[in-house]
Amino acid sequence: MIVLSIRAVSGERRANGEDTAGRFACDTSARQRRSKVFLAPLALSFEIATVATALAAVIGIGVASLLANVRFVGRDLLDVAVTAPMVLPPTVLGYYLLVACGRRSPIGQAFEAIFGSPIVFTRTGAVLAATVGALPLVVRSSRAALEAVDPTLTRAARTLGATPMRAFFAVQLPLAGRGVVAALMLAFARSLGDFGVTLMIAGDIPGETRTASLAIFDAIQERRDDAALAMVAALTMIALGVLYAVGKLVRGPHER
Amino acid sequence: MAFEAPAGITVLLGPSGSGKSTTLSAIAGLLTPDAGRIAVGGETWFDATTSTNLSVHHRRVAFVFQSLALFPHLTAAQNVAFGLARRATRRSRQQQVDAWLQRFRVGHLAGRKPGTFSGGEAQRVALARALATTPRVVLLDEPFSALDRPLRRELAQEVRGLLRELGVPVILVTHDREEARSMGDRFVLLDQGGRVMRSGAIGDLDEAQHGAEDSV
Repeated sequence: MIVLSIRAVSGERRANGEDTAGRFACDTSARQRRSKVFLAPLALSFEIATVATALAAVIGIGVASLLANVRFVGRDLLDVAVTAPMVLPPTVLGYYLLVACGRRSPIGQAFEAIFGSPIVFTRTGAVLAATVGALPLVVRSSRAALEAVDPTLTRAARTLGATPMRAFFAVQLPLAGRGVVAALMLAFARSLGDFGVTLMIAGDIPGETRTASLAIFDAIQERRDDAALAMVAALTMIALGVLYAVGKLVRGPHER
Repeated sequence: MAFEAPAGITVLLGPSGSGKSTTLSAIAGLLTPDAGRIAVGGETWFDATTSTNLSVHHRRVAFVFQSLALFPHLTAAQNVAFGLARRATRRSRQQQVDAWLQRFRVGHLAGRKPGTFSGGEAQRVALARALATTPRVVLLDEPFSALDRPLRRELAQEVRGLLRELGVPVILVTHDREEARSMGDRFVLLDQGGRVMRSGAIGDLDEAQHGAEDSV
């Protein structure tokens, strides 16, 4: 009788093990799919934000140095033009970019002829949208940081034989460094979360242009609350982390 | 305004707002006059009639600003090296930097940044930085104004000898008559409107200033 009981127990265990393994395999693949659903858009957002911030840095610091150091006709107009993306509705900005860079525009056609791919509805379009959104932040904050550098120092550099370019890179820019880095961090955070302009010129293509912001919108529409919540939490932590870091950076190590 | 400054120290005196600092800035090329001519050693640096305007970095002017304008993110050695010819070798530049810092007795500050210097030390490093460039003209805009009198006297003595050794025109702006008399070889006295009232040998300064007060 004892032997029969043991065989019966073993049989049950085998049956349970297979069932558990099956359930385990199902649970694991579901978790992996959910992770991919929110990790992939976050990774894409990071990639796009990094490239956009780099582009905004080069263009934005250049424009900021012009506005800070050179008096020229049209200076105020340039200032307005680079600041406009901050105040224009995203759909309006998206429309202008579509007209300027769409497949039928000269810029769009030239780009496609050179690179074999259009700007719109590709990652390039997403980078463009993020860059345009980040540029005003870089220009305004960098300009303020550059203008805060004592102009006597750049004058001194010039009298010591420095060209305007050397005076900028060797003296003004290093001394404005904290402010410029803070500007780039804010630009990165902004690029990470772009929605309206990205949707208009890059679309919402899974794996290609579906950034975290777009994925959150989709998840909410489809009532996938955990996916939405995971991405919301990630973006919130990044944004708050950047704000905190920028605050520390701008205040400096000796200020309280 | 029109004056000549031969080799030696020319003191530029006048009331506030008479254009002394503006004159130095114009000579350095930091601002462009509306009219006139600036020539150094026979070379025209600025001429409004021919639209000649040599850029700042080509003029080889040693300018010591009132605020000293030491670069706060660079060490004393890096500050002094800033204006040295980039075509010279690194070793040669380093030797020049060491020599100039020693000459002004601030060799011990080579690796330190200006935020840690005393007033006198900062002044010495600023002078070393300016003179290390082998300038064609030296412009001093109230260089000792931030120092107390004993230190000012001591530094002025030292600097006077060095400046005379250079053998180039030096234009010194100062409000301090004692400093003007102790450092200068010649003077140029401006009125409120920036016009030259008197000029001459430094020995005639007192007489010239009395004369100027009388005419007011």
